[in-house]
Order: sequence, then C-alpha cells, then structure tokens
Amino acid sequence: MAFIDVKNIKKHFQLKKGVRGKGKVLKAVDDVSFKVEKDSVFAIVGESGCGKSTLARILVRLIEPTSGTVSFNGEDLFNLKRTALKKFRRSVQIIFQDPYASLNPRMRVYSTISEPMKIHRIVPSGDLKERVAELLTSVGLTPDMMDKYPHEFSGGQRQRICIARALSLSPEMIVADEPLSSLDVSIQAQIINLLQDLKQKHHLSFIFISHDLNVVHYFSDMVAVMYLGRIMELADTDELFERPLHPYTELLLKSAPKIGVKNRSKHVSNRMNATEIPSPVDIPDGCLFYTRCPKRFDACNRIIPQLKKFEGHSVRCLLYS
Amino acid sequence: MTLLDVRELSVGFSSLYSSIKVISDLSIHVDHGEVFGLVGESGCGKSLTAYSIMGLLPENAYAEGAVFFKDKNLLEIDREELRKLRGKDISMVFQEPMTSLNPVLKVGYQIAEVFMAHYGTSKKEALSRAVELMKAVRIPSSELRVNEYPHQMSGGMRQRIMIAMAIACRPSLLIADEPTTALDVTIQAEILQLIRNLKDEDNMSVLFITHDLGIVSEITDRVGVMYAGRIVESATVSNILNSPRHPYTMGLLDSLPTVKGKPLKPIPGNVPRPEDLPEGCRFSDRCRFAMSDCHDVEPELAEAAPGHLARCIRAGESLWHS
Ligand SMILES: Nc1ncnc2c1ncn2[C@@H]1O[C@H](COP(=O)(O)OP(=O)(O)OP(=O)(O)O)[C@@H](O)[C@H]1O
Ligand SMILES: Nc1ncnc2c1ncn2[C@@H]1O[C@H](COP(=O)(O)OP(=O)(O)OP(=O)(O)O)[C@@H](O)[C@H]1O
Ligand SMILES: [Mg+2]
Ligand SMILES: [Mg+2]
Repeated sequence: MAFIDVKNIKKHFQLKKGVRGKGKVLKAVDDVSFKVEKDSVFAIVGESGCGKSTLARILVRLIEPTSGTVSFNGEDLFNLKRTALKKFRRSVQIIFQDPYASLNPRMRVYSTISEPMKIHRIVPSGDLKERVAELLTSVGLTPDMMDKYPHEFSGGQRQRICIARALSLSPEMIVADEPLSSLDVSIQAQIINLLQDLKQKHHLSFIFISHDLNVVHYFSDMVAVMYLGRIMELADTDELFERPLHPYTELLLKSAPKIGVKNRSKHVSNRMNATEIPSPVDIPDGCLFYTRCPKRFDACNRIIPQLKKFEGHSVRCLLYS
Repeated sequence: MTLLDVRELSVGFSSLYSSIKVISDLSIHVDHGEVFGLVGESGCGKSLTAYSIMGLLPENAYAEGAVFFKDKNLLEIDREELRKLRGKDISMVFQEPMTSLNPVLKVGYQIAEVFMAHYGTSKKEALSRAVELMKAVRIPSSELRVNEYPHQMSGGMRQRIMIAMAIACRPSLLIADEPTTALDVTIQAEILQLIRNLKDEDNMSVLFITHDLGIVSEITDRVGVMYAGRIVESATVSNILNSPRHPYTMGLLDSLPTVKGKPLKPIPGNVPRPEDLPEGCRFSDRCRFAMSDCHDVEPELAEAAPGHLARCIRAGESLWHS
C-alpha cells in the first residue's frame, strides 16, 4: 500500500460568464494519478500555470477535487472522520508558494510557530519558547526574531518562517510548493541538508514542487512533469534527467539557466516555436503539447496520447506506443 | 553614461528604544542600457535598497546618503514629483506579487490603471493595451483572463501581471526584485528575452536582484555582491563568477548543488544580526581564510584588479580554486 495514492484527480474551475455569453471551464488539473512511497521525495515540475499549486491544495485537503480520490495510508482523504482528520492535519503540512500571504500579519513569529504545537499538544507549554528558538535556528534565523511581526522580515526570512512552522509538528509528510525560491544558494544548501537529514532520521516524505531543476535533480527520488493540467512523464529522478523521453521534458531540461551560458533566452524563445499560447481554457485536440512540439507528426493533433509505460518511464506521447 | 547613482546610502530602523542600521554606505551605479545584478545573502538589504530608490521605505525607516536618478536626488525631491516618476520612468517588480497587487481589482484593470494614471488614456484603450501586455508576458487566453482577480491566477501568472505593469510605460529604469522566482525555465527565458529586448530597443537600464547565479550569468553586465548591509564585491559578471575575490562570493559558488548524494556545502555559521556585527570584517567569523587582522579593522572596498572591487584584505591573493 502506497503512503499517498492519487487517483484520477480532476479540478475544473467554472469561469464567470463573459460578455459574449457562455462561461468557460478551466481545467487546472485533469486526470492526474501517482503514488508516493514513504521516506521519499516526489517532485512535481512544469510550466507556470500547469496546475501544481492546485494539486498541492487538494493533497492537503484545502480544496476538494472535481472528481478522483486521494488516499493517505490507505484511507480516503475526503472521507476522514474527526479524529483521523485531526491526525492528518498534524502529520501532513504544507509550505505555500507565497509566504507573505500565508502568514498572519498581526501575529508575532512566536505565535505563528507555536500555535499549531499548542493545538496538537505536542510540546509542554513550558518548553514552547525553547522549541521555537530551536526551529528558527535550524532554518538560519535567530531566536530573538520570535518577537517580531511578518512585515519586519525580508522575503527569504519570511519563507524560512513558513518552513519552520511546517517542521514544528514533526510531520510525516510536507507538501512544499516552491519552498526555497527566495533563498540565496548558501541558505538553500543549509535547508536542503536539514530536510535530507529529517528524511533520513525521521522518515519525512515530501511532495516537492519546484522550478529549480538543479535542486529537483539533487533532492528528489521521483519526478512528475506536468503540462496543462496533465502528467506528461513520470520517472525515477536520475533516469529522467539522464534520458528524458517526452519532448516537453527534453525542452524543459535544456532550457535551464546555467553559469557561463549567455544566449539561453534567445534559443528557448525560438525553440518554443509558439505563436499561440496553449491555455487550460481551450484545451487543444490531440496532444496537449502539439503546438510547441519539435517532434510532432500528423497524428499528434488528432489522437490523444495516454500515459503509458515505456522502459521504466510513464510517458504520454505517441512516439512511445 | 550613468542613469542611477546611489551614493553612500545607509538605511536603518529607529524606534523609541533603539536604532538599527541595516544598510551601510552602499554605493552602486547603473549606466544607460546596462543590467546591474545585485546578489547576496537573504536579509542583507537588497529589497530595502530597491525601496529606497523607489521612495517606498516603511514608515519607521530612515535613509541617508543620496540616490541620483538623472540629475535628481530621489531622497530629496518632493512626493508629488516622485509619484510622477514612479511607475513611468522608474518602475519595480516586487519580490512578493501579492504585496503590490490589489486583491479586489481585476488584473487587467490594474495594468490599465498604469496607462490611465500616467497618460490619461481612456479606459477602453488602456484595457486593450493591458491585453497586449498580458500576451507579451505569455499569459494564455489573455482576452478572457484580463477579467480575473489575482487569486484566480497561479503564482507565476501573478508575477507576470506585475512585470506587465512594470514595463507598461517603458521605463528608463526597471528595478526587478527576484522577478522570475515563480516561473518555469521556459517562460523565465521568454521573460528575460522580453527584458533584453526593452534594453536593446529603449536603452532601458535594469537593477536586477536575484539569487539565481545562472540568471546572473545570463542577463547582467556588472554585479554587486552584498553581505550584512554592505557591498563586499563588485565587478563585471564574468569576473564575479569566474574569479571572485571575496570569500563570501566564493562560498556562494561553492554552495551550488553538484553531485547527487554528496552533502551540500553551505557557508558555515549564520549571518550576523545588524545589532551584533563582529569586530573587523563583517564576514570574518565565517571566513575560512580569516587571519587575525581580519578581526580588528573592517577593510575598505578597494580595487583588487582593474575594475574589480573587493572588501577583503586578502583580495590580492589567489584564494579561488578553479
Ligand atoms: N480559484 C481559481 N479560480 C479560477 N482559476 C483558478 C483558480 N485557482 C487556480 N486557477 C487556474 O488554474 C490553473 C493552474 O493554477 P496553479 O496555481 O495550480 O498553477 P501552478 O502550476 O502552481 O503555476 P505556478 O508555477 O505559476 O505557480 C491556472 O490557469 C490558474 O489561473
Ligand atoms: N519593516 C522592517 N522593520 C524592521 N526590520 C526590517 C523591516 N524590513 C526589513 N527589515 C530587515 O532589514 C534587513 C534587510 O531586509 P531586505 O528585505 O532588504 O533583505 P533582502 O536582501 O531583500 O533579503 P531576501 O533575499 O531574503 O529578500 C533584514 O534583516 C530584515 O529583517
Ligand atoms: Mg503555483
Ligand atoms: Mg528581498
């Protein structure tokens, strides 16, 4: 039994009726399935707007999917009874993409981090201060900062407050949505070392959403590549980085910025080969990646490819069927 | 020719009980058509430097020194004049989109407002220009999504709405504070290309704040490295990345992930708090090259090689390995 089992999740948003009549449906997440094993890091990468954060919110039960199921330790996440739900709320934490919006501006850092520990009564109240100090130190902040309010911090400091809060309940899993995006590379390295340590010693698992492909390569065990709400390829991390199969994965990996490379932008803009930008409101017929694919052929804009096993990968592309 | 000249800028916070300086005597300049990169430890003062230029420091902050834009000292001109410059001649992409987007206004209207405010453009015309800009920043179904509210957009789409607002008036100076953190690498590349085109077409200057050294390498001409409120090194981008002279810069380059399975090597220790900076060099307590002199006097920012400034008494030695 997998630790997390995601089956056929869809999330469709009904857009308001425009001036010209009918309201459209936006397919943010469309039929996504995957499993996450214990003690592992499952990374999700993909184009901005492809549905990663929406999926993250579903996985921690902040929003309900349009259809599909998620099971957590074998239990249906959307049918958990009171005590089981309370346990879930404690064992699964989320780090939001936008730290500023996820911190209460009127709450000092001490309360922000200690509140969840109080609710779940996991630390005797006499020890709370010490525990908060310890958590702040572990993310490279200082204990005196617990008396401050969110607006008194820098962007990267706020992001680390959110990481400290997620760690406070010693969860079994963290859904981390771009958790390191505002951190300099030294602090980033410090935090990755910390997370890796927690993974080994406390069997912490992660769903790790990131645009930083170097970090994904270094930190994750499995990667899912999403495009317009769907998984296009899913494979073991090393395998995916060494031998990307889907043309989108290939394009993505080739497009990462690198020290010493000056003209990436120009090349990528040319490679994207897109006059029209594909939209989750107007899903193209056939393959979702058709409009931009350098390897497309005739059948690609007619036949919808399914996610199929191919040499250890799962890949949604007619080249591999 | 210099467009922006920041001279000995110091920024601090004062309260009833204390006064804490978080930026000390920072001097940088950005030339016409140049991209100047600002990098440095989280919390070292990059965003506050940007706010000082924009005249958007928090109420309880003070700024000393001078910020010359063309021939005006932005720290001294009156609010009305600054308000006219802001969003038109100088604009900024904020690090956290939700701090600058209005949650109850449609995104298209927020972009359109920039035109209406600075040029008195009609609402209809401004809205159609907003759609054009949304297309330029690669937002799909722009005609439809111009009517959405910020919460209906993804993190990276919000970031791009803010970029659209910032470039709307084709400013002469763009301050971009971590503008692409929520973008995947392909859209990121397209946005950088858009910025580069504006630079080539309009001779726009950019102050580009980022933690991503790959992006630094790709888009900047010169770079300033900050540590604990000070510039510790500044040089051309290739000198900074290939032959750094300050041990902090070296430490950053050494922290990048390399081989999987090998623990990463962050710079040991933590950034000092502005309240208790170490004696001598501010980096001395974390520096693997520190000598006893380093703990006594703080070094000046001095020329270590032609055009290459570093605040380190050992900057002349060859400490960097590669
Ligand atoms: N409440 C909502 N109402 C309408 N549309 C929404 C809503 N929430 C998200 N969307 C849309 O769903 C799509 C997926 O958004 P999501 O935030 O999941 O993307 P993402 O992959 O996290 O992108 P990014 O990398 O930019 O953060 C986007 O087109 C977004 O505009
Ligand atoms: N309103 C405020 N009141 C008190 N201190 C503040 C305030 N805003 C920022 N600071 C402090 O000033 C310092 C510099 O903050 P700034 O936001 O400029 O950092 P930064 O270099 O942009 O960091 P990051 O890379 O994390 O965004 C930080 O240590 C921060 O805690
Ligand atoms: Mg997101
Ligand atoms: Mg900042």
